[in-house]
Amino acid sequence: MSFVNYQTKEVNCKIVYYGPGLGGKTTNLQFIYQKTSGDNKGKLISINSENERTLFFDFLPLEIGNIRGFQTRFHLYTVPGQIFYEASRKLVLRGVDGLVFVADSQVEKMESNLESLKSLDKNLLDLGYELEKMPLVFQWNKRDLPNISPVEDMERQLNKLDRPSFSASALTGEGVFETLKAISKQVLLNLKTGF
Amino acid sequence: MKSLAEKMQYSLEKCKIADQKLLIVSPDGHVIFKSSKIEEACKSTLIQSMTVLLVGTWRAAQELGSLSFFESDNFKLTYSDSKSGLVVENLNFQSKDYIAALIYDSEINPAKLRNQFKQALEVLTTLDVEVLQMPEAKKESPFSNLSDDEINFAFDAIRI
Repeated sequence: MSFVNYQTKEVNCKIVYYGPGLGGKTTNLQFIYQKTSGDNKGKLISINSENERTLFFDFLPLEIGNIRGFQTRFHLYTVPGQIFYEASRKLVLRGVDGLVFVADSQVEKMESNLESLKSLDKNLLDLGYELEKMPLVFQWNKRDLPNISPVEDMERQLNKLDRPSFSASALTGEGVFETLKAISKQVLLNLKTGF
Repeated sequence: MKSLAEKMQYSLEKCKIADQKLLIVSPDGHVIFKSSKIEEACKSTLIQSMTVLLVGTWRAAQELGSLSFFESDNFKLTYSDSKSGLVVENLNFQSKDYIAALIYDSEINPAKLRNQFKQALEVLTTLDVEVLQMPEAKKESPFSNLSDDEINFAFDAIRI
């Protein structure tokens, strides 16, 4: 968990994009990278397999500048979505400050969404965190595709904690920054003070 | 009371490697110490990227080790050729684990340098134990009542 560093006037926060495989987590980071000015971002690091599937994680450091006198940085990560990468997901979750759950809106993906959310809950518990106490927003991704579940169904089945949620199409960028702003605000409000 | 960074600097000077590229990070991916050489060579986002990759590599190696049924407190990771490379070691300081990295290039005697690095970490662990406890939390967060407008303003400024 991150702290406000009063000595250096810095805040560094870790935000993890979690969700089922091929749900659009990496595409979220790619869009943010493309639409952010060069001085404010670092290199987008992707540890991929040969067919462009996330193998370990993606990482994008983002400096959003000065908020209330503190140099504020967000470290954006994705986890690999494929089911057999549980160990990697748990590693990436260590020290997390906030979560974006990227759900795939396609009707046939609801089961994968539910499985992924369950694995998130379990992995957090294993690391000593509680999902209920964690800054979290949901993103209903791929709203541009046909055969998608109604938002009400997604809310009912996945958002039982009644957290902020956003309809999105990471491919076109719709909802991507809205999601990031919402989780950023929650994370900053939740930060512990110290140093 | 000296900070960990100051103590690290002392240890590095004592072992004559203060002019090298060194990084100490927490297992959660926060930079605890960066040498002036690495600060000169890399901008802050690059250091963050290095930190993340260091932590990921170290943790992945630990997991791999446990899957292979061997465990030790004294492993190190190296990625090097005859004159350039990276060496990563565990640093246990005040009962907390950190990840320490030395990065070098065009080095005539890398073995000597790696040994000095190891010695510097040992010197650090033997220094008097009084630092790096998290100071008592201040009660008021600077971000309490943060508004949507403030967040929007910050993000609008970085978008293209």
